[in-house]
Amino acid sequence: MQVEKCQRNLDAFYSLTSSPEAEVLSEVLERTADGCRDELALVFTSKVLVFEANADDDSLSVSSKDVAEFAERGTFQDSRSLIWQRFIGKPFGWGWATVNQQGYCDGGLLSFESAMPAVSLEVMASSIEIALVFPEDELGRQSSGYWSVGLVENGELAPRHPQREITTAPSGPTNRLKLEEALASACFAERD
Amino acid sequence: MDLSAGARRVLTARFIPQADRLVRDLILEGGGNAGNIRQAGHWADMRVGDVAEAAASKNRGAKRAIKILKDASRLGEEH
Repeated sequence: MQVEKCQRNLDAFYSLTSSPEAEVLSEVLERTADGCRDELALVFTSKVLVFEANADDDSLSVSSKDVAEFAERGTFQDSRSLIWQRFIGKPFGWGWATVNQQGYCDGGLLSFESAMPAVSLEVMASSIEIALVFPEDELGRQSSGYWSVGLVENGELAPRHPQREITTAPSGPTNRLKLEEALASACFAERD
Repeated sequence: MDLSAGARRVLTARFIPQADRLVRDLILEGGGNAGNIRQAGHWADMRVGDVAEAAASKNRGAKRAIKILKDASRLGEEH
């Protein structure tokens, strides 16, 4: 049964690579309930990849449909994750369904414009977690030390780096989204 | 135990009635082993409902413990 489910997830990825035109990512939507991201929709040129968290067993289901048939669109909102920004406008590359040591498909990997995984998805505690995957050579280019979130003098949270001066600290009351944006822009500025 | 909407979502109808029980006990009853308990860390000795509340507040360790709990219960179903 799990093997079949895994195959269905892979079939969804395959449907994007079988069209004659490249499927380019145009937007990423999500549906949240009680703080859990239970659905994620990646909208491409003509197809939509929908990832659904199965809360009962923290597994992941992937399906694809034509953009014109994406009737649930109105129930989704723009994804709050900043990870997607760098992939908007990039063609879908590869998709992997990941199976954990218990034999269940609980995640996936995606690549854009290449065959190297760039984004990891995993269902944990009824919610889809999103992570960026770095190739080894990009990690090597990172300076020693990692960006982190720390307290600054005024008691607010801000990106912090042991060897970098912070110039992108958010001002005003601490706001998680603002903080994520500042942290991401600090990281991306260093990478780019 | 009174649970927030987020914690209820994390637990699902299946585990909400077990909110007062220890994570450790449920993992073992479900078919999990000592390795699963170790993976859950200190969360294993907390009540399921309290761990769910922490998971709903985005605590990564608590999320991992909930995932281990759900995994263990699947093992019990299979064997």
